[in-house]
Amino acid sequence: MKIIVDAMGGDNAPGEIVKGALQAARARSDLEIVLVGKEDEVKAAAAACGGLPERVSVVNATEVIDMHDDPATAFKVKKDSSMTVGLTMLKNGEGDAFVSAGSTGALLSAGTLLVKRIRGIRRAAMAPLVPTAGNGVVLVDCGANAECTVEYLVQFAYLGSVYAAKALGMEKPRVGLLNIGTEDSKGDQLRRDTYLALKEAGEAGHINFIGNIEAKEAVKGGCDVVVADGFSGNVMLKTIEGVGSFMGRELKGMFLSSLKTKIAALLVKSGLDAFKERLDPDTIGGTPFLGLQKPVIKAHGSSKARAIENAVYQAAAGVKADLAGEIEAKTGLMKTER
Amino acid sequence: MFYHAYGILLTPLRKEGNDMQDIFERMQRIISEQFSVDEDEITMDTSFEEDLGADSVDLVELVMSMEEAFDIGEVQEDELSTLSTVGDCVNFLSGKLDD
Repeated sequence: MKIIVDAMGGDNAPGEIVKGALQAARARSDLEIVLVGKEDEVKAAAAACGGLPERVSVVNATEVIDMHDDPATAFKVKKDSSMTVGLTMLKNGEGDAFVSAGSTGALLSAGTLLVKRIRGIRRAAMAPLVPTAGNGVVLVDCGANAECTVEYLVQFAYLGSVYAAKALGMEKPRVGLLNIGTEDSKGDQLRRDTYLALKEAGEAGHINFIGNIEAKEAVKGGCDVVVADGFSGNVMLKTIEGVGSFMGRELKGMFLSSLKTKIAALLVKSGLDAFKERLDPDTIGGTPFLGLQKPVIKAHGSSKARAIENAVYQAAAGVKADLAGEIEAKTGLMKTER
Repeated sequence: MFYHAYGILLTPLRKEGNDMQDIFERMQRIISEQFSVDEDEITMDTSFEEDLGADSVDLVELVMSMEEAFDIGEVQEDELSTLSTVGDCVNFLSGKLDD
């Protein structure tokens, strides 16, 4: 399969992007990689990593969408940007998936309008796998759609459920609706109406809906998919990131505070390393946009080679899971009164 | 001479009708593809929002398809806001193509 990589997107482009893509190509003989970007810069970055392997090619793109560009229109204004060229290639069948660490808003806009939504899907959603006490929870949506309707949230539930089952191998994923309590009367009108729609879907056997779930229970492993509007989802995600970072710093400070604690740290080092690895977003790679006709993965803007490598693997898993067909088949089940 | 004059009078109407009809049929195909409706269900009076359930993203996507299919350059935001029905689009495109 062929993965198209935006070689110019992100803070560490093209060097770390190219390095990560080449690592993926060398590790997986089933992958072809197309690096899209300023040809001279991309080839120079590749030369610094031992040159271009056989299954890696470069497509020239003379422009780069940056953070100053209007995300809604950037892909149209900069028609020869690495993002626009790469997504157009994906749309035209010249690749199977796309990875970018560039502007999230521009990628969402361009993905929606170039690659297009799966027929019947109203909005693409960003669905990161958030580390939890269990195997992680798919948070749908984590920021693409700040304001949602019942229909959007119901669709997010199906998108997340299909993704968790087919791409992540979760058995009958438990779907929870992010809310301020578990009772069915909790939350605002949107939450109450969505609860009823999802309950109906659950009773019909379409999804494994477990009801409302509070953020803390989701993090403790209470569900496999948590459905939220983009605003709430983003607040939840950033809070988790912030608490994780804070806890990590405090823990490190504690372990370095005395000789006794330093010895203790050495004794538990392997456990600490494993724990750190589990929480490290680079281990996952990126965030998929669910609801588009082909896999598009957004890697974090600060991604370095390891994150990009894992984002490429994530894109490959998305291709293999072939989500679009199954999702399109279920869109009839997702209809609600809007 | 009469028939010649009659032909001259008819010609612009006939030509405009064919162009409009052609534009309408092409729009039927685009809309049918995007909204998964039968072409026969699409008339000049079909409203994107009321009849097809289109939202803002659907309209932007439709306009992009129009831009590509008819090669009319970029439709401006103030022009986009005038396109509520299929007939609006056909008339808009006819004007653009005549320019």
